[in-house]
Amino acid sequence: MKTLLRILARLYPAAWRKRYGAEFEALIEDARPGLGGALDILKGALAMQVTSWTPSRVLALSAIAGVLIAIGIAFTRPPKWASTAVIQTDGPAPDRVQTVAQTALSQNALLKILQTSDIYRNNLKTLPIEDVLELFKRDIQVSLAPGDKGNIFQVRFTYGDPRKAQQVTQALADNFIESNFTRGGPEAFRLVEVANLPQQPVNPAFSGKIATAGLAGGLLLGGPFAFLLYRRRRPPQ
Amino acid sequence: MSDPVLLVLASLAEGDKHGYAMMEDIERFAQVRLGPGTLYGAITRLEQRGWIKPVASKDERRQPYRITAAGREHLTSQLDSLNRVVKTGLSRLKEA
Repeated sequence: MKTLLRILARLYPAAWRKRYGAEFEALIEDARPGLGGALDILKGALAMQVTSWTPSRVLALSAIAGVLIAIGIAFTRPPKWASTAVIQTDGPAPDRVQTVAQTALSQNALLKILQTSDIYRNNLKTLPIEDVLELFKRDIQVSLAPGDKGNIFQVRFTYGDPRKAQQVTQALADNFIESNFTRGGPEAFRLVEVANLPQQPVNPAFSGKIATAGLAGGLLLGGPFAFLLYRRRRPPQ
Repeated sequence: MSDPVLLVLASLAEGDKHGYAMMEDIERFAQVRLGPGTLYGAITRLEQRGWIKPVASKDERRQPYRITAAGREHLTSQLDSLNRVVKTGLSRLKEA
């Protein structure tokens, strides 16, 4: 207990210990506090540390805490992988793709992929099938290929398993081509790039963006506190 | 009453004391056992405000403190205010 109390007494700010340290230790020797007293010393040390903080220290600590919390949260998120397949149309893609998507991404078509690909297994245990299909739809992106003349579009699917992401993306791309064919579309759809196997997750545990967001969040929360501290400590005019 | 600042001032109003003597005295007259952290938090604040001051002692590790004139003034004003609350509360309890 003696050692613990000595360690706790060292948690006080250095300047405070220089002034009161010896007499504080003498008090601890005389009073022989128990666990309650140890907690009281810890509380006192923390309070004294906080009162000795300067506005710049508050800002620096909140920024560091923000970055650490953001990284901590990022590490708890499961990684997600995005696979992309590219399809070319003979004519302008936008209108035709929208029409074909009604069949290619219909409830029935998605349900078939859901059943054959064994995805969203945990969600299927807890949610109704309609909600799982909504989740599935949210993870699908159909867009015109960047920088293209308008006759190439890409199908992208994001999931927590890179192989499943690739498998489902390919099934979705096949759905588009088949649906266009069965709908008797005047322009053919051709698969230009098969679904790729993603090598990097789309939400890496650590990135500059995450660190910047944490830094900004920390400064935003610590800023008002630092300002109040500055106003309080400023000598009267 | 459990305000450590007032308890320390009330203890020192009787005479100079070091930390442990204050702790024992406060426990006797207020039935409150202040922890070391709470006691020295109060001592630090009181010294910063000029309400108590350290006095010379042979034992450097057991530093006694003395209440200052400003400290007495503050204690008097706080106890007067507390006294008014106590008197009002007791008379209202009797009326009810």
